[in-house]
Amino acid sequence: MEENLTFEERLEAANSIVAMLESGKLPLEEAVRKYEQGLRLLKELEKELNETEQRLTVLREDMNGNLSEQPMEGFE
Amino acid sequence: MNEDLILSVAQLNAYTQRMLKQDMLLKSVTVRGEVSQFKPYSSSGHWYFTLKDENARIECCMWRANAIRSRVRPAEGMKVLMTGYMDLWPVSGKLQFIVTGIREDGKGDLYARFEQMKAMLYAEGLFDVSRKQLLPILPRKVAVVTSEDGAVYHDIRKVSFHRNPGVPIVLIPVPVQGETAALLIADGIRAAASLPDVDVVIVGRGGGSMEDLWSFNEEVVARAIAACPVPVISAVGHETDFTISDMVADVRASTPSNAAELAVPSREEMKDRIQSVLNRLDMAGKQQLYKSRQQLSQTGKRLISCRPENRIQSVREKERLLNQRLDQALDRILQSGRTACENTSSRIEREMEDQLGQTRKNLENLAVSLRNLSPMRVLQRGYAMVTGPEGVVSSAAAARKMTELNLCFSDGNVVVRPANEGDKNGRESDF
Repeated sequence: MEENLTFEERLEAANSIVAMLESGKLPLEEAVRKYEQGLRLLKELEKELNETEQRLTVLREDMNGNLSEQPMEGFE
Repeated sequence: MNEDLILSVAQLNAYTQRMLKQDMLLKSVTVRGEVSQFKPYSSSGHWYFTLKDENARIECCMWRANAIRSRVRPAEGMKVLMTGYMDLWPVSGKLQFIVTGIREDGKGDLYARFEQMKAMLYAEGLFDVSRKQLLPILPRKVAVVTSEDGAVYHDIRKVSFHRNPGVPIVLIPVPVQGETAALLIADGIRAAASLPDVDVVIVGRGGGSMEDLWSFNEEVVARAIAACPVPVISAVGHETDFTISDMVADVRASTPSNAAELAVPSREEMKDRIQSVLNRLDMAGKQQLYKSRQQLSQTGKRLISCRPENRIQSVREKERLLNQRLDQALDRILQSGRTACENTSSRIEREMEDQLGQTRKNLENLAVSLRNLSPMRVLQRGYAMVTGPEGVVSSAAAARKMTELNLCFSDGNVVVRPANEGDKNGRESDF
């Protein structure tokens, strides 16, 4: 279910989990479960962020490299 | 001189009139001159005026029918080209130039027409800035509508090639002055726009007089430019020349070279623009990443602070405290128990001591009593204990029989030998 949501949507979900935990109203067992879930989500998001950054860097280098050949090609 | 032929005046006039009518030139001739003495309010509606130049003059007449149709209305001093025929009035002998058509001569005419055209097209909104199309950033092909010879096409090609050799330039050759030029220029513009891949059209010509440039003030050209689906750059004449084409076109170029600069971006320029867009893209990407990272980090921090370990910790803490309290309570109980015990045992001790004390006292008393009753005391009072080998000798009779006796005094022993029988000094007595 989490796969199809956007970065922002999942970040929002993580925020909701934190809010729940902060309220302190959860029973201990559930608190532990929610905490784990939140941790997992955040780790996922961080990984994605790193990958995106990587992609952009590669893209930029590629663009710069190709600049003198065909400036207009594949430029969307 | 033929004196035999004598004409009447009427005959003379008639003949002259006939001659005029037959003459090839005078039947239809165009004359250049200046209008003077124009009388506009003739009751008949015909126009009467004089046409003159520095050297001569001639009376003119324009019939009402022609006058009404005439686009040009004579005015005093107006320089004109008049077309018509010479005629002679048979009765008066008056010579008159009958005008069928009037054209304005000289620049005055052109300026007026220019202003007229300008006003008309302006009113239609053809010059509106909102109508103007934007030039494409990089055209696939540029069409140039101009003369084949002449510097315009050449300059455009040169500048364009220098800026970006990859952009093809195509020429639509047209005459750029003369009677038919305007129509052909208009056709050329339409043809240029219909060519495939043409993204911009340059129309223009080199410098010249107002008459030379006149085609570019014509209505057909203006409308062709206005209707052109592709952006049009007008490059007519010199920097200071302004034609109607310039006003209707999407962009006015001051020179052909300028037109090429406007139409074709230099490769350097393009690289710079692309680089700057890339930079902005990069920057935007970085900013977005940064923002996302910030948000992630914040949420992460908040999550960490909600660690269940914290809760477990606090529960453990509570537990510890409880234990502590329990221990303390226990200690207190024990302590109080101990104290109670100690108190009791002290009391018992004390009592015991008391009793012991008492008993000791009793004992001591007894001891004293006993001591007082002790044989030692007796001895101190002067008695002595007599002991023989078998113990105390308490009989004199027995004593006499012993050889040795021990006398125990309070302060020591004395060994005596009882005196034998018959001892003189010895007095024996029995009780």
